[in-house]
Amino acid sequence: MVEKFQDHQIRDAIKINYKYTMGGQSKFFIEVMKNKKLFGTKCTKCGKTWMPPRTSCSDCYEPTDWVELNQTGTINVSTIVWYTTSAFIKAVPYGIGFIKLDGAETALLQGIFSENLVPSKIKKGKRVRAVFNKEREGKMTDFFFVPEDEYESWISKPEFEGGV
Amino acid sequence: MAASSYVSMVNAHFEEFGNPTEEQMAHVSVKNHGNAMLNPKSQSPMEITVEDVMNSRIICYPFKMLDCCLYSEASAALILASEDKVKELNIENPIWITGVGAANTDCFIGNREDMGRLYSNIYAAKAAYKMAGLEYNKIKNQIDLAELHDAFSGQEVISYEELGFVPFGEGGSWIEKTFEKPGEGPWREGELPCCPSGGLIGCGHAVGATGIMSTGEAALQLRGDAGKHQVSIEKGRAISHSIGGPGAAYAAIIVMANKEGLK
Repeated sequence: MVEKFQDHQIRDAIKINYKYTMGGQSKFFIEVMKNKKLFGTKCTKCGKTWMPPRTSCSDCYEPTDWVELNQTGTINVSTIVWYTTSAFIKAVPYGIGFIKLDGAETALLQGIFSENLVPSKIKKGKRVRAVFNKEREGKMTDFFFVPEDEYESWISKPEFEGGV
Repeated sequence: MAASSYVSMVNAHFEEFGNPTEEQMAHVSVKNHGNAMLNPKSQSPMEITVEDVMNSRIICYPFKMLDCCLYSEASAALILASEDKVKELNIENPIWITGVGAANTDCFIGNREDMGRLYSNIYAAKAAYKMAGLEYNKIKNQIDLAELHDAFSGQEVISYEELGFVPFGEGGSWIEKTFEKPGEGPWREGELPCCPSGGLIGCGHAVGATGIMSTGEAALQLRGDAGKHQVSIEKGRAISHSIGGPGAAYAAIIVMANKEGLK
């Protein structure tokens, strides 16, 4: 009689270290990390200001120049997130929205935090301002937006600071 | 991720048109989960009420769990043939594709001036209806059913408007006021049944296969082969609708007809 084959399994994990480049958008992340500045790009031909930045204009395909933008803006549309990936689970519930920075012609998708988070607080037309983490890695999660009237109280917290 | 990109469009649409409300969206969930009860291939058949939807777990405001489709894995297939081949093989009861429309809009929602409107839907619908010899403003009375891309309940309401069934701002009241009243609205026995199969909310959303499923469902309906969820076919025409890509930037609409519908 042939003994029935039984395999022995060991549970293990593979850790992968890797790097990826932000390519032509690198300056945006470097400026956020080092200088707490928000940079968009401006088309050299039609003059449209893109935020998030594009290395080439999405309308006329011409190259763009870097331009520093204001850190205040207006909410175009928003939602409050209650279900998310593991990276953001501790922040639930939090707001996200498309924000048109003053001087930009396209809107940036970014987190909107509030001490009193209700839909009316972050609805269309509300003014917001960028707040930065003190510890920055050059990622989108280095900064977020808060209602303009909450700005002072957010930047007085030990882990955050205002932009330049 | 998908929920938050659709919710941006739905919230922007609400800001502009005051519709759809949370209750109106919940009606879509009730309708499509309910329609799925009659479809043996569906994965989320449910008999639920508007209150059940409103009380389900919030995902991202104002979408609740029951407003969202179930992400699924499945396959679907269509057999396409030229007119010559259909005649050569003597295919009985073929369903003809009489109109096709496809359009793209900005992939990045932040580029869009009107975030509450999916222009790709409007352009694709107009192109498909034109090819089929139908009219955008009269389409509701020219077809028997529509299989729509209802990945999220609110998006189906907006599609009623963008595909020309009702004027902008009236999609929500179309489904809400005519709640389970025969002869009106998008219900199974309504004036234009939408997603009689259960749609993506009722059947499950196997991304990539769902557009084929919707088209196949509409074809089955036109052939009279849909089984328990068969709706009444009088004009002999139906449409299927699918959207996808980042910010649902791509839209495609197919108009189909049986022998009657070709007249």
